Amino acid sequence: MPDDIVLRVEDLHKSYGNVTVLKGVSLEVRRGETKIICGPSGSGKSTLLRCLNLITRPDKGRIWLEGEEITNRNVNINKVRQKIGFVFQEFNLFNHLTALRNVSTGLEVVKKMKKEEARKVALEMLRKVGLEEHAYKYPAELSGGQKQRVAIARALAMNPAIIFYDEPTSALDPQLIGEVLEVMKALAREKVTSIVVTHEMGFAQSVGDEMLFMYDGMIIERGPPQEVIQNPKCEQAKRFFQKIHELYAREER
Amino acid sequence: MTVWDYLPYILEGVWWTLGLVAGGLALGFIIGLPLSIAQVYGHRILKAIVEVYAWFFRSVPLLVLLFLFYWGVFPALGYKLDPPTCSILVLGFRSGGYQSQIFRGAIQSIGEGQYIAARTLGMSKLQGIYHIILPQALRIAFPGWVNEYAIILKDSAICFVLGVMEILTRTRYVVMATLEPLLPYFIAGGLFIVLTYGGTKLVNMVYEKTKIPGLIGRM
Repeated sequence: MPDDIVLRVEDLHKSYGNVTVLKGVSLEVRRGETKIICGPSGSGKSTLLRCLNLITRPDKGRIWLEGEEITNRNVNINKVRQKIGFVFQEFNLFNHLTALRNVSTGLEVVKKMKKEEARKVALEMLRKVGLEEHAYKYPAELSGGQKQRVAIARALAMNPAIIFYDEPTSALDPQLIGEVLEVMKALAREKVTSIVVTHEMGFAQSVGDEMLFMYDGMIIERGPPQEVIQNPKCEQAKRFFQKIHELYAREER
Repeated sequence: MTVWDYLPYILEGVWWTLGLVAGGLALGFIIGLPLSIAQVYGHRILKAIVEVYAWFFRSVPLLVLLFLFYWGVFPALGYKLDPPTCSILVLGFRSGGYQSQIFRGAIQSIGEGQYIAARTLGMSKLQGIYHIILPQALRIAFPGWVNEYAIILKDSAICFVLGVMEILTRTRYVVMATLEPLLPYFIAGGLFIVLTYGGTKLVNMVYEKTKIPGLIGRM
């Protein structure tokens, strides 16, 4: 395997009871790449991300992270997860910890970093997402956009091989989306490897390297974001992007 | 001798009562907290065991539990425990059942998201529970826990049936000695009021001091 491939996924399947959510998903993410995943709700995007860091165990299929097969039962799952940053739609910040401690706690507990060193790294990460002056505030004292930026700093601090974003702006008020996307764009330009599940087409076109369109548990179209968005080939993608387009046109009016 | 001459004798019972309460609460905490974790994060069988435990100790009257353990269970197991020890154990077992439900509610109110976030950072199950869930759950459970203090304090009076030298036992002796029931029982009641009020005031003060913005226990 060429060593610039960070994540390789082969034929992933997952069902809950008799509902099949993933029906054979394969993909590869190269180092520095920003991979966009979109598709209608219920198409399996979130389940895919959750299977990729084994929060949810896939029924079938194999996943390699930096050359190591992580679907192998013998790997230490906690070690693997350190290398995968995860940003949630609902932020999931630790409510009893300040922004700074939200970022540093993983370094201390998981990476066994000294408190002072962890604090320095955390401050640096908060600076990166523009929140240094809010370091000592608790989540309840931050806006949604600020919370999500802390969450990004928290993921980033672990120095992961790849970051997953699961609809990171979907829970935000429209006026707060921009600040989060700006941070994500900056990271993409710094070549932080990532998979982004999002419906932000502007973001996808400006920093996405490849777009995967998911439908009914499968990736049914892939290509450069511009092309997939503006000139989709399959019927399902056409309908989907038409709807998104209408929605945005309405907002602009 | 009048009732007032016996006052120091009754007051000495306060220490015994507080001993029962402290012992019962502490043991209840040691039992209840792990049980609550087992009930939320444990295996199906473990959950069932915890449920049966909590159900048993919350359903049987304290008086029955005291007799059952003092005359029945402990002797049958070959232990002859003195009344205070037995009382503390029973109060603790029972409070453990109640406290497990207080903590379970608190843990569940935090929601799964933060736990999953902890796991995605690479924390183990126990690390996630210890570093992320428990610090919040304990704060959220605080008001319920203070309530448990008040309950166990009042319930401790029942331990007079085993002859533990707490407030009520001593009061009854004073009544027998003076043949004057009204004032001694009034004094006993007053002491419980002071202990209930003072205790809850004190722990609530600690609670206020350790409060975190946006993280408020439900009263």
